[in-house]
Amino acid sequence: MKKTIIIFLFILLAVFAVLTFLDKGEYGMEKQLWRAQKQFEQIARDPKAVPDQNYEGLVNQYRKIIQRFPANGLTRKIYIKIGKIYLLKKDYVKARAGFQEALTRYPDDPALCAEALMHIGNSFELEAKYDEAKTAYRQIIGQYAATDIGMSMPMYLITLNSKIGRPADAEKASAEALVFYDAIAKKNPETKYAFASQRMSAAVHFARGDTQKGIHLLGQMLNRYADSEMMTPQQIVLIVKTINTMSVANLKDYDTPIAIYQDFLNQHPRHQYSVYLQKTINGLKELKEKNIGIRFQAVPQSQNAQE
Amino acid sequence: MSSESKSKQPIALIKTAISTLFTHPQILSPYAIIAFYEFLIFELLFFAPRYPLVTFFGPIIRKLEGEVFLHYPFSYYVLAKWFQSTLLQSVIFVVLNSFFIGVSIAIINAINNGQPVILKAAFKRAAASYVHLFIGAALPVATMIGLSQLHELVINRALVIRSTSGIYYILKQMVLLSVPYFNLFLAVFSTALFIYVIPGIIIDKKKIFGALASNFKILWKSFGFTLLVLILPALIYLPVILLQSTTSIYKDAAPPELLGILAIVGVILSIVIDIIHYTTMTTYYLLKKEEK
Repeated sequence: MKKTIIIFLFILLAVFAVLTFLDKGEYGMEKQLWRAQKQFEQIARDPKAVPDQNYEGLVNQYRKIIQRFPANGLTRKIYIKIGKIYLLKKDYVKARAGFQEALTRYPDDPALCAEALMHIGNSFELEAKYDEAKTAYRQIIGQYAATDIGMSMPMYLITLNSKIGRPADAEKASAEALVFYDAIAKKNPETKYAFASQRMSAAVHFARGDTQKGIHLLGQMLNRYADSEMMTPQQIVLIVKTINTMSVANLKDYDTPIAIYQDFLNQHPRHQYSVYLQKTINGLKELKEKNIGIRFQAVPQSQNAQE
Repeated sequence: MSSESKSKQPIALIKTAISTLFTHPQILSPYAIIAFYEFLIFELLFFAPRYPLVTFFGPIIRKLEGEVFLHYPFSYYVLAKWFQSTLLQSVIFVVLNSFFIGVSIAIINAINNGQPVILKAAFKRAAASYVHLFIGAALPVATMIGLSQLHELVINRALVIRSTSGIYYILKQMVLLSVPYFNLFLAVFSTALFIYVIPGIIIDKKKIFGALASNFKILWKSFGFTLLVLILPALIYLPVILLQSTTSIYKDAAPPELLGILAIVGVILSIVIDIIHYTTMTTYYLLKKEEK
């Protein structure tokens, strides 16, 4: 039996050795990255209590991973990580150098470049260098508009200007944002960017105090994207809640949302969310009669139109 | 092998079976094969998210679990889940383990009869009755799955209890927290219901129905004793259950590899429990036979 056990052990070890040898190393990299991430989280919990050598130690760890796996798809994200470590350390110059390295090395990756620029802008904000921050954010809008970060930037600029007490700049940013979102929708029709741009345009209108316009834009979205995959349950709930909040809570106007949902039901009587919208209409009518606050209907994940 | 008085003492019977294993390690040979292929399957699943096996396993993992489970550390969840899945372990038990357990029982029978242990003969004996062994192993597995389904009804009922205090809350907590322990009991209970089937097939060369009849005949007189004898070795599995059911408490402190380690330790312990179960109950079966 001993001989048999030795043969079995040999086979198991041989299989292990062969499969380890054939492995391209991606798994090993993920393991090292995960361990580094754990250290990063530990530092992030209380950055002030962490000695300087821990920051440098983690940066060195990340640099070693880059050296060992230069061609790996995950490597590009490590430069962002290095920048974030220095952000935690409040060493903004080194942080920006890390983000800049990502920009320089991977100019063909718009999402990564947008993220790097966003962190660069953020580092300037932390130093209260708002003009430099805005330059970085504008660079995202100009060069990486068709990214998730790019889409959110015009809106963010409005918020930033308002936050730092520059209403004239905020007003200018909001006008630019409307032009930007309009252009994006025209340039990328029927894409997620067109969908997001319409939603963002509504948000800009709300920020400008043009509530009615924002509500109508969201109403248009409901009809336009009724059968689109982009109109997920979360999106429809978000749109309905926004319309209700802006219209009922802010304007005490029950009729506009009712008209929007009724119009939707007329155009899409067998839509999977018709029951949900009908209930919302009923709820709004009830609230209008009683003249009390708003309450939202719970929406199921999937609703049968035949119900 | 042992006196009649010892036959109804659970601890004494288990001790006798263990000492038999030490004096006749040949009984362990079939279990060494079981351990080998269990380790091999574990190894293949361990490497499943990596090149080159990922080319085959990648699409399956992606479809069944999601993209993230192809990467560290989430791949360990898939390793532990798949390796310990009822489906995989049931198929292994019914298709392969049944045969090797049959071989080990044939070896015990030869030792009991004072015959020399010839592995080839034991393999031949099990092979001749493979169809019956297959069914004999499928019965406890099917029973366990059936009982688990019933248990699931209880769990589902407990889940709809909304109380956050009082008797209903205590009941809910008891049902939910005892799930892994109750599953262990169900496995032992299902094994106990058919434990003498394989010895009957191998030792008395019975077919499945004959083996079932003699199984229930023995159980009629000694079900409680049989269940107790099977429960005692199964208790060694409790630490694994405890560690697996409390991962949420220590998951941040423990490395993800622990999930894989627990899975392999769990299977090793299952094999050890099977060895003790079948050796002990075969010993008892032979004693009963000698009593006649």
